[in-house]
Amino acid sequence: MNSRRLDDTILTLAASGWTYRDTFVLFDHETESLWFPMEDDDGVTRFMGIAGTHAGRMLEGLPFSRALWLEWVEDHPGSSVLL
Amino acid sequence: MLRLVLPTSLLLVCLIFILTSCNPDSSDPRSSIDDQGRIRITDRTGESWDITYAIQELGFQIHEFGHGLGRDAIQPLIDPTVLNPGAPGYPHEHELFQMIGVALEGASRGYSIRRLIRHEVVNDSLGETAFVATY
Repeated sequence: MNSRRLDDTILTLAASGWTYRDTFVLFDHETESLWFPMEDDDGVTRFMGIAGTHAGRMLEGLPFSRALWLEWVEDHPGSSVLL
Repeated sequence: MLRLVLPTSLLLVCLIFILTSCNPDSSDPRSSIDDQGRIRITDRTGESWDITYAIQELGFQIHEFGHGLGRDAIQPLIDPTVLNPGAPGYPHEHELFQMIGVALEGASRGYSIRRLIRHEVVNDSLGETAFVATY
């Protein structure tokens, strides 16, 4: 889960069709930079620009939970869902 | 016993040496260098992608790039229609499907892993925060 705001723009990310070491490589529609999950200095995995305009930039990580629906909805009553 | 093990291990060391001394990058038929000196890799649809920074600055290896199915192979979701409580099809509170959840600005949303796998990327937002959910 990453923010897709970079400076003053909101990026739209999509699969590029490439994988690197079997992990999906993404690209953004706005600049066609490539993005790949990389560990930052704190050991947190975030999307990093690996080619193009945003090469070297990192997207901000956001907190998320991996859970079963039953657990999630108990802690977050009223949650919306994408099935 | 030792006589058998020694030649086998020697053979193995030689084999590893031969394999690692070949540089697959120089012979990867998908890669090329354009007239601006940029390193490019061509996918199965014929589109070529500039991967210079990844190779030169991040140490990526060309031969580790796989699939190359093209940008249209997997469609991302953009601001998808989600289900709110009370909507038809909203899951029962005892359902056990796996999901990833995000809680921001007092709102929360779950994404089923099954749906994330199908699109790989979901572009969404909660309140003022625009984010991307991937799996």
